Amino acid sequence: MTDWVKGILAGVVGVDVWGFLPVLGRAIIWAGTLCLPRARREIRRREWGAELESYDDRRVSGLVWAICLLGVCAWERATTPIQLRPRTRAEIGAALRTDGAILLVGWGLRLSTVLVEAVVPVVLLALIVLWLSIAIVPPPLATFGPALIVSECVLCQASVGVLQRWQLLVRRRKRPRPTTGSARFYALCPGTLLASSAHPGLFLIGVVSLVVCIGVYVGNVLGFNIELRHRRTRLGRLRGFHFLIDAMLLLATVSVVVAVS
Amino acid sequence: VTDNVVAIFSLMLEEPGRSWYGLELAEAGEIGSATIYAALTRMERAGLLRASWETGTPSQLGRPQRRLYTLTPEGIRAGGEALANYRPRVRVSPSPGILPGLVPSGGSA
Repeated sequence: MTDWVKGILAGVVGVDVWGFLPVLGRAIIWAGTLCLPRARREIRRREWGAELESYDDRRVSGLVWAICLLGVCAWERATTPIQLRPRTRAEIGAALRTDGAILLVGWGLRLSTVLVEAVVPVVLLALIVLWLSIAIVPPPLATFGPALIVSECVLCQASVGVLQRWQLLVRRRKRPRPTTGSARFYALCPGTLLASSAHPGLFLIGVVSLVVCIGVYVGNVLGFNIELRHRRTRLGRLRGFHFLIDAMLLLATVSVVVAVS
Repeated sequence: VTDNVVAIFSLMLEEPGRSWYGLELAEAGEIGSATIYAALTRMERAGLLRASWETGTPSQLGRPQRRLYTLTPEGIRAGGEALANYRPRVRVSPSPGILPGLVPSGGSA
């Protein structure tokens, strides 16, 4: 992880927490593997413990990775064949019920692993943006002023940059994933809702944006690959949908300015 | 055969004798860094992969031993067939490129 991101994170969560993250990751792996049979448990702890070392310079990513492994543990437990020893009928029934429940939960978590991997960083980012906006903007402005929307836009644009850098540098991708674009909406919408809560019309715009954006985001995560036509602007190649959201934000800003003045 | 399995096959078949560890495959194949273990487990259970521990002690390596995955002869054969018959289910699209400085040079209009 680059120094500037590490510095920001250290400032936000504290240096002690930064050093504690790998321990927390190991604890999560240790706890998650408890559901596995003993032989697999030891293998998994050793394997994932070794690979967690790869995240030493990307500790937040390592923590997210360890959380995502919980789904794999549950899936592996659910798909490991069970061998029933001779038991009473009641014991066999209880064991089957337990394994059935684990099977259902395991497959549910397994399916959600993909979503968690994509959503957790984005939700964290949106929460940070929301928290920053509340902490930075004074209460009177936070309630009525257009300054909140302006600061939201600035913060959201910055968060998109951070998210893309996170994918390019921290996760070492050659380019951001297509879903990155939709992540922007997650970062934008909480601020838009908060800012527009003083005006019913703007609030409606925020709600519609949120619903559409979540739909697009989930669709992209599920592989439907929703996209609109690209269009070329002075700023470069932007997706039409992003342009639409920007236009809605601009409209919201102008509306609030007019209403307040 | 899922997309992840095909991605793993395509990477490993570039050098069939080479051993890979999980995160290395995930990053090279752009596969979810957690979901890859489910795919590797399925392939190992099917006899397509063989797992072993890295040779050398942790003190020699300077880190813990990694668990390495290698294609078995059956895996090489099945991987070849899978790649030959593979038809992508989702069309890969270029990234959105929101920021001008981050627009990939190879992106399409």
